[in-house]
Amino acid sequence: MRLTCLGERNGVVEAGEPACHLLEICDTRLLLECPLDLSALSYFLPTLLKRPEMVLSSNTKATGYDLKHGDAKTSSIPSRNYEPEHAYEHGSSSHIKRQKLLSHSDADGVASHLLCGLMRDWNAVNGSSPYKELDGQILIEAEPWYKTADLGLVDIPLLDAVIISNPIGMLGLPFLTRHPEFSAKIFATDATTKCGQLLIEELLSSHNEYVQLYGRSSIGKAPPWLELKHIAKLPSNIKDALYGVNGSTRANWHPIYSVADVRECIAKISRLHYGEEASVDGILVLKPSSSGFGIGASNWAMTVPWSRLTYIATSMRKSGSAMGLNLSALKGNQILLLSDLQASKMSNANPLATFQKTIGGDVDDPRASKKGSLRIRAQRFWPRRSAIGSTSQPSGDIISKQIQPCTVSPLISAEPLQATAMGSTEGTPQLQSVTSGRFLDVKWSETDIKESISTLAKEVKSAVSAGGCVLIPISPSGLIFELIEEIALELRSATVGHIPMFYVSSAAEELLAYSNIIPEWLGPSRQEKLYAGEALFGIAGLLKEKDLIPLHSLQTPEFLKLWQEPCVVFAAHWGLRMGPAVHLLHRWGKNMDNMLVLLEPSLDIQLALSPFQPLAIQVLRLAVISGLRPKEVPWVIEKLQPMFTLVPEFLQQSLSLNTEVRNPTSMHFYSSRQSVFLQDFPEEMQVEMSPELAANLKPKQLKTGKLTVAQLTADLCTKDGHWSLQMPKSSKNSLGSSQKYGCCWGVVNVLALVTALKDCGLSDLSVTKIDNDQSINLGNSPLEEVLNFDKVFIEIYSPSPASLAITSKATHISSDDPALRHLVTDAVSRSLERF
Amino acid sequence: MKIKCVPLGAGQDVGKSCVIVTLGGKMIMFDCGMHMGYQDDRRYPDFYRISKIGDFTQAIDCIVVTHFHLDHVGALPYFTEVCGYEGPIYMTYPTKALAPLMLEDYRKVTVERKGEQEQFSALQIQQCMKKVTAVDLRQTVTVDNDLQLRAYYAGHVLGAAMFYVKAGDSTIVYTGDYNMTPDRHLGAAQIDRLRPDLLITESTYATTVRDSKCAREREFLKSVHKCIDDGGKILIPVFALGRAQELCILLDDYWERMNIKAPIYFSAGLTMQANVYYKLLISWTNQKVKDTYVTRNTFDFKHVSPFDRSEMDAPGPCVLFATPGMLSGGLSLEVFKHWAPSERNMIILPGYCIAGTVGHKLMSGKPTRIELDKRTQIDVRCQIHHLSFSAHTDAKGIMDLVRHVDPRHVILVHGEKPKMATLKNRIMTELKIPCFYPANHELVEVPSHCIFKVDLSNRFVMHHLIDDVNDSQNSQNLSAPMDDMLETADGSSSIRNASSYSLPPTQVRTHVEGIAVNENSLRIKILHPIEAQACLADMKHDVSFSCFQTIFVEANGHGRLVDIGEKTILHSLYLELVKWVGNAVSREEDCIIGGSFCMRLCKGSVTQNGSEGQSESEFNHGIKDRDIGDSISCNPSSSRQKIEVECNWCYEDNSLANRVMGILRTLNLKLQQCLITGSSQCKESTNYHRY
Ligand SMILES: [Zn+2]
Repeated sequence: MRLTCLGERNGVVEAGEPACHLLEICDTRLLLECPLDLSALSYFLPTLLKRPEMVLSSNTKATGYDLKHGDAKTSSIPSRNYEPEHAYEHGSSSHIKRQKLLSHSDADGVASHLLCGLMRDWNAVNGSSPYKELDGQILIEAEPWYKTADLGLVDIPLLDAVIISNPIGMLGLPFLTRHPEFSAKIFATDATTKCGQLLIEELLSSHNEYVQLYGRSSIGKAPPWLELKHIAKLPSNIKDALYGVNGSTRANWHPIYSVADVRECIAKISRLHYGEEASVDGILVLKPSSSGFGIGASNWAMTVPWSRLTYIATSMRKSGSAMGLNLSALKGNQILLLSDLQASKMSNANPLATFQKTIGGDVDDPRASKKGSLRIRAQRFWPRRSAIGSTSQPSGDIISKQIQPCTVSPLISAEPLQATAMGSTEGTPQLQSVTSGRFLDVKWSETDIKESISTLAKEVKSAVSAGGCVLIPISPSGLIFELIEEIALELRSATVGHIPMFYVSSAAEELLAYSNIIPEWLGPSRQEKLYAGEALFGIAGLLKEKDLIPLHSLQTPEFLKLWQEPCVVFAAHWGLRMGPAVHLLHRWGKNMDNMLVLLEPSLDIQLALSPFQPLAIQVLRLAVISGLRPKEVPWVIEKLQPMFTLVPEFLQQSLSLNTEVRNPTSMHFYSSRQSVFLQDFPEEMQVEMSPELAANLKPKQLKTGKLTVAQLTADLCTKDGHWSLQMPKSSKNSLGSSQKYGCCWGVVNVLALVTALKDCGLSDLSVTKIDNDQSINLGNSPLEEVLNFDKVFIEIYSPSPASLAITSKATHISSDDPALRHLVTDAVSRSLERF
Repeated sequence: MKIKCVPLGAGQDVGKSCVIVTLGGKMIMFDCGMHMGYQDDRRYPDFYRISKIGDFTQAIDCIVVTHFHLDHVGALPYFTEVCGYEGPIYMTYPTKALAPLMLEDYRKVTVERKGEQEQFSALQIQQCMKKVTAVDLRQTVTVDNDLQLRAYYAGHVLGAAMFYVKAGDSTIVYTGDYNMTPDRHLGAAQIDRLRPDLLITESTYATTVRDSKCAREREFLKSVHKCIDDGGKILIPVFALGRAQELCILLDDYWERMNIKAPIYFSAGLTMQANVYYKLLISWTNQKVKDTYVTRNTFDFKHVSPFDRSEMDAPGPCVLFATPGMLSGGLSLEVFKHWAPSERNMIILPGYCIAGTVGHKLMSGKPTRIELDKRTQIDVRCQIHHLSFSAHTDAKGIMDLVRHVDPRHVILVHGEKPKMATLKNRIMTELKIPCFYPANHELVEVPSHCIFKVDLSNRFVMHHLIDDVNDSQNSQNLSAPMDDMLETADGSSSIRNASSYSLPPTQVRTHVEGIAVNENSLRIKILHPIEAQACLADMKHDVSFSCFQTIFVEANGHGRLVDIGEKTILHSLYLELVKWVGNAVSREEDCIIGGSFCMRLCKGSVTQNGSEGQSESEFNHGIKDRDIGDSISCNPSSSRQKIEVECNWCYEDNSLANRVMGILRTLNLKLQQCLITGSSQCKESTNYHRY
């Protein structure tokens, strides 16, 4: 068995990054998951800035816009009629005017906005650099491309199967299936396929909207930002994040797939139920079981004739409404492969840490002073705001104290998003460009998901009660149903009148309808609703009451008809770079009454928000845990009792310190782009023997003991993972078999031997029998007498001399001629009477 | 191994399906139905035939219920709550969701019936259903280590399933009711070619071959439309689930297309509630219905509204779906009393009506007067329409299923005796499969097919199926000259390739060889021949070899070999061999060995060898009359000299020996300066050469 880890970021397997492995077992090559590195999307600008002068001209406007919003603090609910504030036509999107009214203003707004945010070309000399520096972050100004795992290490035509465990693992699949030589089977549960399809289609539609607004920046050729000359100039941390160490992952970038690619990809998937067995080429049998990570999400048991493997993909010990983690279906397998684990600190990663890292790189920059001055200039454009309405800070001050949230539940830790200690050495206010009203980090409760969600819902309620709008960028997953339910519950108790919820995504309508027809994929409490004849989620009722309104996009006529603020919006986002969430964040970002909820733990908040700065919006983060945490690994091992456990290398330390693993299992650690070998360790394999074959066996009783033995020549056959021994089809000479095993059994039949030798043309020979010390020369035609003997000599005279000395237990062959020796040996082995 | 099968119900009959099967040491009850035609003890299967003392939990390993029809699930609450069965029960998700509705509906009807005592309470239905484990289609469910089951889509009604059960080595498929053709809302039955020991199939329409369903649907819609146009009321007595939804889809669609305004009613409450379940379970319908759930859930009927009793005598045309089916009581019978006397009205009877019900009376001939009980008689003047589309497969479908599943034996249940006999003969003659149709309580025994289970040893499996690591390491020396080549050349077998056998992914047949060992008549174990050596020790035949080989040596400018010394020559030979075979050989004091292989210089071949001329006779001390002189041409003027080595080995190391011999034969050993001056300095000077 060989496992090759194909996921990479910064050269190590990192938590939060979807895993991707190549598993070779029993001559079967399996690709485990085919995800995209969505975190890489955040390195793109959410818009394209075509002409520098155009951007400059909008500079003052943007400032005005900004100040206006600042003034409108007391009554900041934006107008219902979404008129563009600046009638300004973006060059690349002048067509389709009527429908794009909103988006035009948005595109314009975003563009003008960026200018405030200290934007400059990364390459000061070459103005046409594809990179822009913005708010201390370096971003790509180009149509987004997508980064897969190291599929270059996979020999695509030789791939036998692809296993997809959850929608995230499906995002990169069309890149694989559109390969002309791809012929593997694809396995996923029915629900994963459906959710994955919705996710992929949402990505496509978000991307198409982007292209419609800003045009294509590259068609059919490698874009400038992938050119080595540009890459070389980047700071190493960005370089590594985008292109891997030494540019190793540069080839992992792909332009978006087409609708046809997606259609063909989905059609190729074999859709399974939980517990349904599927075989790959009749040798490997797969069986998915629920992983608790979401609707349809699965782990897999794989069985080959001599070993069984458990593949644990992204799993959650405590699940929401989806069916829970089912470990009992995976018990008794020798190998355990744990993938997609959370790093120990992941659930509560300090967003400032990454921020600091980026800035640290910048301090040495000789252009730092220039940048500093730019920043000070920029400072003047926007007054700093805070949740308690503090006035703007003097530009030279270090912000040491930030606003605390009004209500702090035990689950919430509030911290200012501003860096306090950073950049203070020079006394220049380097980093104050990152602003937000307040930043809440809601800890994802490990024990009670409902509690985390209800905390979130309460925050949403208080924001809405204060007249703000709430934006929840989200991807179509099971979590959205629970959030909608819980928030609806809170809103109903709010006293501010009817506040609608919108779900803006191309997947919205279908996903919400889908939520009501999936009882088989849900946990026991939701299944009870089926038996009670109730809707599985409260969503059906919300839709009926128009409390929840699905919108395909912000460009539809329904939008203008139904839109109403304040409201709570769930919106597709794609790294806060594409999709309706981008437009809404731009629209609401300046108002501190509004709230932005970020759910993805892998999202680098500083990076993701940088194009939108300055922001006054409250940011609430609920880093939803996805994947088992390291401290749960011993628990899983304890439950499954594998002989071998494969875990990512970054866990090596935390696991070796952990003494909880009571049952010894041999641990192996895998790391990116490395292969881990496990010697095949077969256990006894039980097969069926066909009655005909059994009847054909000729067992002989051995003299010693009660053992009977028989020589077996058969065909080992397999069908759908079911193995059996059948009558041999080919009549291969079974007698040759002894030679492969370097061992002979039985007694030489001298008569048969002489005949065999003569058949080879070795007739010039003489046989001498020694019996009771009497030597009898039998010439070259021995009689039956040779059946009983002590010893027989056979001399061969031509073509070259050779001699054989034969006893009942042994034969010695002397010959210097290799060809002759081979003939003689063959004759001896054929004349051995076995059993 | 025998499989025993006893129908407690549905043997040569339709109603109270309940089949007890014993296989592989397990007892399974398939379906637990009730008979609608009886109001006495005969309505339930005679459970005490399973266990006289009534310890059902001990006797039965699990109950499998195929679908929610009462003749398949009706006795379940009685069996669990009254008889006390507490073991596992399996059914699909929809069956688990919908069966309580059917049971509750039935309970109400019986309670409403005069003097009838309820068999189980509403609470008991709930408690019973709590004990049920819901399964998904094609999910392999492990009941215990030796008992697995799996559900397959059966059409018929929502959630209906056929069940495949494997207990030990015995396998069985029980179909329940099924439909081989899709209808308005369900797909056709789907099952794999499972080749079970026994197939138990329903045979409701054992001899019927039905025409196209479309024609019958058209006819139905036409007569409904005509009746509505004439201002008549249409009563369709149905059970809450199944046919009601199918006909509703049909009518709702027709109403939409023809723009008909007359109301369609569902008898309030229960039947409307049933639609909610159907909406949740849409993934169990056919593809066409599934595909439209986003825009409109098929079970969101546009023209259907709940029925109010007050509308019973309201004027104007309407269509009413009322429970229960077969007009056995309840609302449907009440409405029947009101509507039957008018010629304008119509009664549509969809599907089968069990003897003893009003529905059955209506179907058999055209009665003008029906006696409900001693005091009540009804004049029947309305039109009576029998809808023959059934959710059961016809004879062709049964034959197709049997042919497809390919069982070793067939048992027919759930049918009428004469028709079953006909079908049995067809199966025996056309398919050549033994077939039975036992009456209730009649035992049928069939043998489960004889399979020999054997264990394959690790080594045997490794050898035949896994690319052996050692072999692949050896094969890296392919460029070395080898005597092995001869073996493949003479065509006896491709021995070397066979030892590094690797199973190509698509190959499903591998030729294997081994030793079958049976100790004390326990299971047969297949061993790799090498593993078998231990138990076959006294059978072993040792084959050994000896051979002489001449080697050419060049010791440029260093005179006679005798001066160089045996050890130096041996060492340089060793160094030469290592280049080819690596650490397969090692050097001892006066020989080179590798396993049983041993090579030494022939005594005297160096020390006494002055010149080539003299050597000839000295070499020939091994075997008389050896004739090697002809093949060696030597040039006395060069420093090329000959030495002779002797090799011995056993069969086990034949391939190594052959390789070494091949190398030696083509070798032209050049003695290096350093080697000649002394082996002790060898290392240093080799290093020197490297720099
Ligand atoms: Zn039925």
